[in-house]
Amino acid sequence: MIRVKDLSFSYTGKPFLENISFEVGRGEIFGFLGPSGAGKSTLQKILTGLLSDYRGSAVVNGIEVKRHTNSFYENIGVDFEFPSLYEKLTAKQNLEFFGLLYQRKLITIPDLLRMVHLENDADKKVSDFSKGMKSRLNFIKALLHNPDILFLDEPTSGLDPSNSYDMKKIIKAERDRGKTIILTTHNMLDATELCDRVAFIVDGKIKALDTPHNLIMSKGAAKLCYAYFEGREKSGECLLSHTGSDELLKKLISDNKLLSIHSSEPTLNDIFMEITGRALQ
Amino acid sequence: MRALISSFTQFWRQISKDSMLLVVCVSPILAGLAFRFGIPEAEKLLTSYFGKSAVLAPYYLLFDIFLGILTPYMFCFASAMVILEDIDSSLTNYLSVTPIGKSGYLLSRLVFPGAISALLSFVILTIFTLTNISVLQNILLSFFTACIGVLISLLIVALSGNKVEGMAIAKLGGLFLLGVPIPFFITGAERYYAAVLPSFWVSSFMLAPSIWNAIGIVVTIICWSGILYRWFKKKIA
Ligand SMILES: Nc1ncnc2c1ncn2[C@@H]1O[C@H](COP(=O)(O)OP(=O)(O)OP(=O)(O)O)[C@@H](O)[C@H]1O
Ligand SMILES: [Mg+2]
Repeated sequence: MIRVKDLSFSYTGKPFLENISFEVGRGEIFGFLGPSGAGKSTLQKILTGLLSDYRGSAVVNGIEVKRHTNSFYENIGVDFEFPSLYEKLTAKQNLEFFGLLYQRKLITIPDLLRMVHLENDADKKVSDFSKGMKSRLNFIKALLHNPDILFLDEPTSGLDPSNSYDMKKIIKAERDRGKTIILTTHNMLDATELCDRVAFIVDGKIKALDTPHNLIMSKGAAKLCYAYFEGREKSGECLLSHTGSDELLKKLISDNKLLSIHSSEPTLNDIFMEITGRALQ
Repeated sequence: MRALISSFTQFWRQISKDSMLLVVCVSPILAGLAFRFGIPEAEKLLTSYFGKSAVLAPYYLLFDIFLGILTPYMFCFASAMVILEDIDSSLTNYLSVTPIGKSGYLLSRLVFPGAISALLSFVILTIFTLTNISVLQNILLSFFTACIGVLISLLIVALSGNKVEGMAIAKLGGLFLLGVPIPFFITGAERYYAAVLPSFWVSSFMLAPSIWNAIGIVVTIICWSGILYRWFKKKIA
């Protein structure tokens, strides 16, 4: 569905995005991860045809993006980083207006509003919406015309845990219906949970690209950490695969002396820190 | 086409929800009434007071041109305000990734309002003209002033970041209209200092419909739209 090859782009003449190549298939959720300012939103803007003076090739739904016509957008849904809604109109009026722009069969507005629990706010003006309500409305706006490809830029940012959980459920359900989804997020747990594959983008380059599982495994095995008391509180650790040969641990267990014990698997966050050399903002 | 029409309908909806813009759009009619009935009255008073046969009458055409330019100016000011509002809430970007596209958006926010203001300008002049200008003159005047109106929309959006700045820049856009009175008052070569302004040529053309004045209009409009559209495009990217 999406094929990017040797893509380069610059806002100013100084190289910014460089030699980006990847492919995304039908029914796949593909994540862009990376520090703030790395170029994730820029890459989405290129793939959605907003920035067309790129070099290399970006083919979306069989069309080279810089040569798209307006019908290209019948099959593409976009949820920008910042809500783009008519503040003076109600939620329903907004969806009605955007719906008129498409020729495809639409998902009905009550169904959409119900998906993100806004059914009781249909007739409220968007200017009276909270931040999370705007994000949710902005998200369903991208689903309105039931497109085959979705571009979601930080869809879960600013949502409470329960709304965020529901939105992730919707995203996975859309994937299972065969949609191709490009997703940006700063939440590594969301990325691990949602994405079939992720690309780490740092300073305009792809630094790693694989399934979250493979990336995590490449980091090495899980560890076991424990704490005990010996004059003062002390701690020890060993690989999960070698617990049997840790004599101290065995003795602490048989003497019932452990204060705490837990296994710690590497997470995408560790991979992120390692690849980018800095913490997530 | 349906998408274009709904985008344009949305444009009206935005104007009708903003009382200031609504007043702006009605103002040409008020000005027309004031010109049509106020100025001949004032002329009567002035001629009897000064004991002359005509004071304002030689400038009736100037009032007509001014009225003809006022309608597009007000309309295009309103459309620039709506565009700025759309930029503020990222709607220009969003509409660019729907089937209406950037081109459709521009059509519905620049060309449609321009065309409608040309039509309105024609109607208003037909009703309120002081000089009984011919239909052909009226058509040409309405068309050219609508083009100037679109230039002013481009100027306002290109030079301002939000609606408040937009209002300030709109006054600057008023300078664009300074070319209108010049051919009436300055007949020497100095008047060509105003030759960069399309409004100067429109006014000259109404006074003397020569091919040179027509070329002046077309050339200045093309040059300005070239420059302003480049700046404008950066704003909506
Ligand atoms: N219109 C623009 N003109 C010039 N530079 C820009 C423009 N838009 C973005 N940039 C620059 O491009 C870089 C990448 O921005 P981008 O929005 O793609 O980052 P991001 O990875 O999405 O960051 P975040 O995680 O904070 O959303 C930044 O340095 C930004 O300043
Ligand atoms: Mg971003």
